[in-house]
Amino acid sequence: MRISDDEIIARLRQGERHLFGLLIERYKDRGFSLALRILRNRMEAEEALQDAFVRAYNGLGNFAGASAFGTWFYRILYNVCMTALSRKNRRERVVISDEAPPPDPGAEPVQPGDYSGVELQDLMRYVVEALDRLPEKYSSIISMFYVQELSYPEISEVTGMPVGTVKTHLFRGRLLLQNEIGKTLQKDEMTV
Amino acid sequence: MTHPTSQELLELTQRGADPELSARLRAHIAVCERCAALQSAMGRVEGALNSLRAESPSRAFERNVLRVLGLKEAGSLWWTFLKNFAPILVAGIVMLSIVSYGSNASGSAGRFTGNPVVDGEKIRGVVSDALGGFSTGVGDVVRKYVSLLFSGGSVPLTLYLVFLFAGIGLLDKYLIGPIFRRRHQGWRL
Repeated sequence: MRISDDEIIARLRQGERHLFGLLIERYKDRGFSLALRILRNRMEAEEALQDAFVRAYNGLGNFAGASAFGTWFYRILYNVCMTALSRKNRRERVVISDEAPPPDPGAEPVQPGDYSGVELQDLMRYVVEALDRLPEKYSSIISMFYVQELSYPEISEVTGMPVGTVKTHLFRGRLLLQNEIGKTLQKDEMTV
Repeated sequence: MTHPTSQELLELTQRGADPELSARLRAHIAVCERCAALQSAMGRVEGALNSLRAESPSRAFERNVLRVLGLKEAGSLWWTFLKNFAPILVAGIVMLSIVSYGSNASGSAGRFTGNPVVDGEKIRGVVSDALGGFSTGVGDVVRKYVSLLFSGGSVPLTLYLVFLFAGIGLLDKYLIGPIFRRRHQGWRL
């Protein structure tokens, strides 16, 4: 029988401190993926994740249970990552320009290329590579939606953005991703 | 022909898309090659995104965090006892196995007969011999079995010991250890 997060937190508060290991076990992979998506460096992502777990442990008294533990923890992690990102001024290193987002995402023409002959494994590699080149605000929300499997309201809670902005970022991120994969495919075809 | 926007096409690939819009778009896609190709490509990327798996931090990550927090992986008295005394228990089992095999090989205790009473007596005799050996000096026991290991006809015994130790090590590493750790910590993930 799997112990729920709420039960673990209740028992942690009663003094069974070693049970925090269960929460680490449950959230380390998805948390690491989010941190990696934002910081793009495994060592920095691991440091941020460790910092987030320490903060979560020390701040358990502040966790009111209004949201799920996962959402609360991802918010801590997101803030830690954003602080680290800001400190290192990594935004300047982003390859795809964040200055000129599509003016009207709905009307923006998409050049996804022809994926019909591309194996799923190769397509996934293209997706991951394209995600690494997306601006952090899009790639992190894409990660939260698809890897952490958070809903729009949960992503809104984690990032502090309104739900409408989350939806817009997610949509723009997907369009940029499609275009970026299309470009990669075209490059690959030209080199072959 | 008015083509749907990329946003609409993208929404068609999403979970929980509006059924009315979906029906309208599907009707369009059925007769428009351009939009059908676009939507198919979007659907494939959507599929790839849904297949993304979380990556794992380093293997030492969890232990490092617990150390930073000053927490231990285990804490119960039972686990502490088991963890500390497991090597002694294993050593005892190994010693009994050696004694039993050595006694059988040397013929001092004879072969097992299949009769629980008789065999029980023999095992008791072997154990008391071994304990007697300990009481007269551990060195005698060690010398006895080390010399047996290197004598001419001891290849089976040596192989037996190698496999025994290897088996115990593998069992401890991959079966018994993980089961006890998980049971103790309630890690039923």
